[in-house]
Amino acid sequence: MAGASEIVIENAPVAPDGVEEAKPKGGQNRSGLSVVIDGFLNLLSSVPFGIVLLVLLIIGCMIGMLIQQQELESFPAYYAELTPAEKVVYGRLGFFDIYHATYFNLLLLLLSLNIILASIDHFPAAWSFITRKKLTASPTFAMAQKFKEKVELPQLGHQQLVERATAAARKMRFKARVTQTNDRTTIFAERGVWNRLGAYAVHVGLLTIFVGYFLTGRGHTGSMRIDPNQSSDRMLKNEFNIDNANTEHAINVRELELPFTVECLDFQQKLINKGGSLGLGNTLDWFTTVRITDQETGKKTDALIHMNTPFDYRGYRFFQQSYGMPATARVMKLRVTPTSGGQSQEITVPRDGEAKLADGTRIRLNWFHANFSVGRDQQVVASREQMFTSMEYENPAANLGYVTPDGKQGEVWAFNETFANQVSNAPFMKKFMDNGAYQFVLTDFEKAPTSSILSIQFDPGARVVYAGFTILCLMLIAVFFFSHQRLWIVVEEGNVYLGGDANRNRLGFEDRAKKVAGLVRDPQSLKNIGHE
Amino acid sequence: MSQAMKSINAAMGAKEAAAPQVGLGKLPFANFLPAILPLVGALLVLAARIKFGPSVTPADGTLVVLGLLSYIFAAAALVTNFWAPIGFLQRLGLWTGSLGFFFNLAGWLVRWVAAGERENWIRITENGKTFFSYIPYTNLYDLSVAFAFGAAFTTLLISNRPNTRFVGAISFPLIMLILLMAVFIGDRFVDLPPVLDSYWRPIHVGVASLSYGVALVSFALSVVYLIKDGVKSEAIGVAVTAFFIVGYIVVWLMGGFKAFDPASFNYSLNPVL
Ligand code: HEM
Repeated sequence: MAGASEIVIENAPVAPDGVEEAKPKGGQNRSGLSVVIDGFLNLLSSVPFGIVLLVLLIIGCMIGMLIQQQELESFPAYYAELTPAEKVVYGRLGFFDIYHATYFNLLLLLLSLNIILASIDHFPAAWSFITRKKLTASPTFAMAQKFKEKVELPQLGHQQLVERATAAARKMRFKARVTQTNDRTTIFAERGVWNRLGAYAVHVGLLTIFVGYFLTGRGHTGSMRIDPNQSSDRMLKNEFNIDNANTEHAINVRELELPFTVECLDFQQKLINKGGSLGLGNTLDWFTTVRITDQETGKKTDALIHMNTPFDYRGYRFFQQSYGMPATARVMKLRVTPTSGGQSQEITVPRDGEAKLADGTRIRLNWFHANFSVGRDQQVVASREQMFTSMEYENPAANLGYVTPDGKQGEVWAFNETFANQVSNAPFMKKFMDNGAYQFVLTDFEKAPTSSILSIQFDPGARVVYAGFTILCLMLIAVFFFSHQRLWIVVEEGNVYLGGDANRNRLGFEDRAKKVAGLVRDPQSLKNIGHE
Repeated sequence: MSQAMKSINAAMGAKEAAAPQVGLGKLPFANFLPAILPLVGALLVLAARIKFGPSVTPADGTLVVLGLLSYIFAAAALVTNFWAPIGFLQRLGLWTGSLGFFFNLAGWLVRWVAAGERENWIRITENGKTFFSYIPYTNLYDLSVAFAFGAAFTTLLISNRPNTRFVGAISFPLIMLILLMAVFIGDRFVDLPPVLDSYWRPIHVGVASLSYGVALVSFALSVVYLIKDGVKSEAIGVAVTAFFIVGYIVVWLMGGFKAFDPASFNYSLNPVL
């Protein structure tokens, strides 16, 4: 915007005598301190200084873009890849959290101040375009303008020329004001004078964004890992810790307390191919159903959070961020056959609920194993590594807990049909597969990960920033796609002198002014050209 | 004055009225036909693909390659016309360019349907989304195909005026290169990650590819102006090289010093995003 402001000065109408020379009172005997303060204020309100600040800020933002910021989920992995020197240098310079670094905020504050002071400095000149229009001009003045043209029409009377020129200016959509002085008439034709104020509106937009930024700085971003039937009132936030830059404690996880409790009611992953894996390429969406209990009012609010559909509560915004392994089942269907022979039953067990057999035995899921295998020692192999990374269900099995009506408790495995058939003859597998009374087979289940990971943002500045960007975009368009055009048409002694200028799009202005001159020469001229 | 400068200056000076350029008489919109006919044709192909299935229309990849071939033809004709002005070459270039636009756009539209059928439109039937979930804007291939037809359409649109018609001589070779790159990337479908299944994707990539097309044609126009004003081709070459080097360094920095690293011979792109 600096350019626009400068143009304002360049084209400012002649200031009343004395204004430009006006100096602070008592210029001769100022103390050293006031000289320093004056110099500082001058620097602070100067446009070049603003540009320097802007460049520094942009460099800061680029650093923030190139170097991962600490609150990101992927930050720990990124950090681990850095060299020890990078860790310390970037850390000391605050690069891992640059938008909260003191110097960055100071720069932004200075820039805000600079914009305000520079605006105050330049505003009177811009304002005088509106309040003190130069309504009269001499032929010499008109002929000294960037655009100038002289039309000689001695055969027409003065009044006729004035009317023609006024009509021509109005036809080309200028606002025309006629001022008579002695035997000279000036038609001051003007368009888009508001354009002079556009720069200030742009500044308002910028400052609004900055205000939003400072508000955002008071916010937090974190995440919450939550399983169905669990509650939490904490969000976790990565924080870089410079004093431990090269130890495993470099990144702390800070817990922030929320003013409400989040309970996960359900977590579902919708797959494209239900037989496929939990991988991203096979996923339509994740759905987390939560119940939020306000700690102040006790009010309960139910909400569904899924991809690209966040939920807002008291300024907090919940996003579906990710999901946590191991792969499990949301609901499963079991076929339960009495070992003594007889009718088998079908039951459905939800991941956190129970199902009852006809005889009153209660069944619940202890844990689900997507890749079940048995080792040499006849123990179930459960590799943590595989459980927490594999998205496949190669050999699913469910470990069930049961309580018989007479209070006997125990656990038993329900294998999928293929595996159950394969191993039903292996004698040692028997002990896994039935509890004495029943044999359990996993006939079907709905795949799901164990945990939902929500991202939680508390951003008090978001709306302000949006408003600021809206203002900025609209005003930039208004400023750069329009211009302030002035044309002085001086009628004197059978001659019409046209002279004028525009603060932008000079070619467009000259085209328009030429048409005005053409219309003065021949009011029918536009029709002949065939334009407009 | 080189022949290229002469051709451009002659074309720029051409009067609006003198213009049976596409050889279709004096219909008021005849000069827009190279831009409009392919639109209609591509929509017909789309309709046929929807109504009768994959067996009646060529596959999207085939259509894109046909588009590329037409663009190569158009580029050759128009570039030749630059140095050896022949009215026939001009018309041939315009119409083969138009044919290329038809294949290019039809390929993109057919791909849209193919992407939906590949998943049996499950995002619409089971996840409450619209057919925009299947818009071919998922990777660089899709984007390049759209970029190419956007630029071709813009070129054909502004070719309605005789004094900007030679823009095709610069833009069609570029469009050809872009589509060639797309063909090298390959037309495999990618599985859309759920986060990208959002109405922002058509907006985000649509606006981007549209602006690319317009920017390409603006670039062509400005190059033409440089040639017209007799700027030495060496000077243009130096400027382009300088720009390339700066761009190279920026991309290198963007990769956190790891991508496009000339010292490491490791050209894996490691973008920040
Ligand atoms: C097939 C094409 C494209 C896809 C799939 C795509 C996808 C994405 C994704 C996933 C993001 C990150 C969004 C997030 O962080 O929430 C993004 C950001 C962005 N994309 Fe694209 N994009 C495509 C094309 C383009 C093009 C052609 C442009 C520019 C001309 C562009 C400009 C941007 C910008 C400026 C951002 C924001 C970066 C930031 O926030 O730091 N994208 N895009």
